[in-house]
Amino acid sequence: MEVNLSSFRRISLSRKTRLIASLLILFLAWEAIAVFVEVFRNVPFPTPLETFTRLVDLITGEPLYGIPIYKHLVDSVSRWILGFGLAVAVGIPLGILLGYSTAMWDLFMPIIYVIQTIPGPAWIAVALMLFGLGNAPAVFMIFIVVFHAVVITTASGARGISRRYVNAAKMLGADSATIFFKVFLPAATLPIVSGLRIGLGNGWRVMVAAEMIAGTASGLGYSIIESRWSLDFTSAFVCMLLVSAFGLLTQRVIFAKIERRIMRRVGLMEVS
Amino acid sequence: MFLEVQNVTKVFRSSENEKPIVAVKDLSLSVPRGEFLCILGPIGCGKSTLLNMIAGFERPTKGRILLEGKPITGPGPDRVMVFQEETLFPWMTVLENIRFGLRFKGLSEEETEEEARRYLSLVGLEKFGDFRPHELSGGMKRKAELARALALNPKLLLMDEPLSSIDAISKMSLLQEILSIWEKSRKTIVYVTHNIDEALFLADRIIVLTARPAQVKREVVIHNPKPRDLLGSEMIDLKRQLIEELAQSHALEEHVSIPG
Repeated sequence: MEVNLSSFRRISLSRKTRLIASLLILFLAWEAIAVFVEVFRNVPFPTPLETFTRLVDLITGEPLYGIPIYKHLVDSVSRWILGFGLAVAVGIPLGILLGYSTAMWDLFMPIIYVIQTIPGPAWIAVALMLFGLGNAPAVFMIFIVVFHAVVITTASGARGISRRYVNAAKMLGADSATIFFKVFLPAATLPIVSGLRIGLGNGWRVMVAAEMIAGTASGLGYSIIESRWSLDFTSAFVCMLLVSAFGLLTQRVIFAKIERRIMRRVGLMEVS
Repeated sequence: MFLEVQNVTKVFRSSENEKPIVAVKDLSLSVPRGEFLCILGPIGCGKSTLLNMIAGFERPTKGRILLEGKPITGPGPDRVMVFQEETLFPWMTVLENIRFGLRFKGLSEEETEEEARRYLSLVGLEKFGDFRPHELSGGMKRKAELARALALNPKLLLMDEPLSSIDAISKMSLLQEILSIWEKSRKTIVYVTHNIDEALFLADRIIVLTARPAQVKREVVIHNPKPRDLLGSEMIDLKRQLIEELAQSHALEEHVSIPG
């Protein structure tokens, strides 16, 4: 369906108010839980205010596990981007191939489905054997989850969406090279972009989990799991906040913008 | 005979365990050159399957289809289909869409451009050549699709419920358009629909199909000159008969689809 972009930007005032109200509900519920836990379990539970104070401390230079918070964030994002980039570089061509050729689909898709059923962190044994401790096993786990998302979405989407355009092109007398480059590939843009979107989210979540178990010694996930020993739960909350804020920024704001631009370029306005 | 469908049966088998579906059963029909034939049948009766076989997207399980005496083996630009769904390439402008098919006809650049513009104006879209399909209304998209099909100068134009997603008002003008294109080009057209009015307005001959598996139920030749007044008593009479035929097909289908 066509999406009217101008109405997209002009979100009505009442909807903006509701967005603010929604965040308010979140913070109120958080505060309530914090108070409840402190009273009934006698455990100090970080409140929103404490968390934001700690955030300011960390931003103004106080190190977290010997490293500035920026370094944790940058390391996490680099791992994510590396794993994502590698997965996309391999996944898109493979997805296109599987979407184009039924024989290739039959041969390789079952393998991809097997990979898909295994959650990212469950690859830890494989990752450690292949790469030892450190950065590489984390990147590997991110790679795996982005990879299957990109391949499956691209391949199955390309098969479905392209069929009608490919049929039309065949009927118009096009040769197979023209069909592939001028029809199949442009038609596959939509599923490719969806695959990227899903992969981006998958990769971000698994990045946190991977850092908890792969011995990266830095990163947001690493900082969260370290709070088990340091009992610095407030810092763990700061890291959760950063995971969420950065995830929302990259996926809902930046990528959504790129996605809209690509879709407009291709003339496919079906933004799901 | 120009187009001949001889004892065609089409069976679909989705998987080994499932019961095969007979979409078309022992169906024969022939179409003389220049005829506007409407195939009328209830939804899901197998009429699109028949059209897909003529277009070459599907192969008959039994029987054969001949165009000018030669069996059809695959899709080709001599039989262009206007699909029920939109198949204009969204990443190309309207003009580029029309040029797309012409590229494979061995014309020079100028000839291609000239032909594309000619067909664009034939359907009244000369001002919209540089628009993308998503910027056009549903009816305009249909016209662009029609122009792309006609530009190939096919021997046979196949139309699969081309107006089923068009609103009633645009539909009237598109019907006029299709009629005037047929009158100008005198192309042989096979037009599949479940809409009786469309068939009455356009057809030289209407073939009514049964519910699945599709077989020829009735054949009506309409001699009345076009454009026709669908509110004239003769047309109303005919419409009443066709409604009854279709209702029977529907009832039959419902009866058949009751399990057990």
